[in-house]
Amino acid sequence: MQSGPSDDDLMVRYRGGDAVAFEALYRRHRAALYRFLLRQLGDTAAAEEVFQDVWMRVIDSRGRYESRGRFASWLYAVAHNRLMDRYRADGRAERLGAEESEEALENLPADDLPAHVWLDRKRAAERLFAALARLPEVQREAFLLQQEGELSVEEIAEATGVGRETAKSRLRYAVAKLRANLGGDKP
Amino acid sequence: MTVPQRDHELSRIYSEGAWPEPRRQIDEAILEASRRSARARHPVLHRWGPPLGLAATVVLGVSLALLVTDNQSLREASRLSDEAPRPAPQKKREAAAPASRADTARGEAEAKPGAPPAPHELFSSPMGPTEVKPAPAAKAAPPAAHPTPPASQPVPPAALAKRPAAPPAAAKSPAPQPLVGRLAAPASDPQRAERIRRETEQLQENREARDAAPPASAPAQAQSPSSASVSDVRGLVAPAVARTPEAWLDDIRRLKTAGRSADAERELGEFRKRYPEFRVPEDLR
Repeated sequence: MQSGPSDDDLMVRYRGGDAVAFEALYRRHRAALYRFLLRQLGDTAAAEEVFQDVWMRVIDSRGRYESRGRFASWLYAVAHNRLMDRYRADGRAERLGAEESEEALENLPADDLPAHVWLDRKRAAERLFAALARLPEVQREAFLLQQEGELSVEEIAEATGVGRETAKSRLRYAVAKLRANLGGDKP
Repeated sequence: MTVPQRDHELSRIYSEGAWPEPRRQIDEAILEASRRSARARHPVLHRWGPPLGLAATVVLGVSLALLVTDNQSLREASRLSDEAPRPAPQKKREAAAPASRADTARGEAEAKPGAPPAPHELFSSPMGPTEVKPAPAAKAAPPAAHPTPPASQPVPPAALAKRPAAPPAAAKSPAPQPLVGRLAAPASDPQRAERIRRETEQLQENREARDAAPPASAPAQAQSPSSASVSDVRGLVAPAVARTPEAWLDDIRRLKTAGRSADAERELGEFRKRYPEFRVPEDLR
C-alpha cells in the first residue's frame, strides 16, 4: 500500500508544475508498469519503447488530467492503448479482437508438471511466467493488471475498454489456466 | 460466476519471480522530460500562448494606429479650427486689444461701422460716403470676417453662437478683406456685416472690370470715382460703374432739376454716345 499523498494528488500537483510530485509518482509505478509491458510483449526492447511512450504521454497529458478515478487505472489504460497500437503494428490485432470462447479456454493444453516443482518457488515462478506467456493476451493483460497494477475488476474493465463481465471472465479464466499449469486446481 | 479474488498463492509465486526494472537511463530520460515540461508554462497557456500573443500584438498595433490617426485628425481639425475665422477673433482679440483701446480713446465716431478699408473713398455705403482711414490697429490685426467686440467687453455666448462661420478658404484668401469686424459692426448684426462685405467685393470686381476696359473712353473717365468730373457732381451722380441707363438718366434729371443744365447736357451727350439705341425720355431731350 502506498503512503503519503495519493496518486491523484501527485498528478494534480504535477499538473500545476511540481516536478517533484511527478518523480514520486513515477517511482511508485515504474517497475510494475515495466513488468506489465515486458510480460505482455515478451521483448525487452519493445517493452522499453512502449514504456517510455506511455510516460511521455502522461507528461504531455498533464494539463488535461482530471481526477475522476485512480491514477493507476488511467495509467494502465494509456498503456493498454499503446499496446494495442503495438499489436496492430505487429499484425497481432486480429488475435486481440477474437474473444476466445469459454470452451476454447477450457481446452487449453495444460502442462503436466511434476509435483516437486511446486516446492521450488523459483522454478514455480518460471513455470508461472511460462504459462502466463501462453495465455491469450487479453487474459494475460487482465491478470497482469491485477498483479502489477493492483486494479480491481472494474478498473481492469475501464482500462481495457470492455464491460465488467468481460473483464471478470478474462481474469477468471486466466487464473484458472495458470493454476492448472502450476498443478493446482484451487479456484 | 463469482468475482475472481486475488489468488494469493499465485501472487506469491508471481512475486517470487524475476523483477525486471527499467534501465536507469530510461528513468533519467523520463524524469528529465517531466522537469522540462514542468518548467514550461502551463500546458494550456503553452498551447494557446503564441496565438494569444499574436492576437494581443495585432490588437495593440491596430489600437495604436487608430489612436495616432485620431490624434492626427484632431490636430488637423484643431489647426483648421484655429485658422477658421470663427476662433480667429479669440486670438486676434488679444493682439488687437491695445489697438482697440486706442480706438476707444479716439472715439467711436471716428470708426464708423460698415466702412470698408480699402481703396474706394467714394463708396456709397449704407452709412454714407464716409472716408475711413485704415487705423494702425487694423494693420496690426488681420482683417476679420466677423465683428469683434472690444477686448474689455466679454462676448456673450449667445452672440458667439450667432456668428456665422466663414469657410476656411475665406480665411486663407489673399484678397483684401473688409474691415467690418474691427470697425465695429455690432456683434448682434452679422447680416449687415455680410452685406457690407458683399458690397466691398462687388466694388472690387467693378474696379477690376473698369481697369480692364479701354482707358481712352471719356465716359469711363468721367464716370470714374477718382476723376475730377465726377468729383464735380459728387452727391448728385452715382458712380457710373454701378449705374444702369435708367439710373444715369435719373442723375441727369437731377442735374437738370438742380439747375446745372450744362452738366446735364454734357452727361446726356455722354449717355447718348454710350447708349445710342436707348430712347431718351421726353423731359430730358
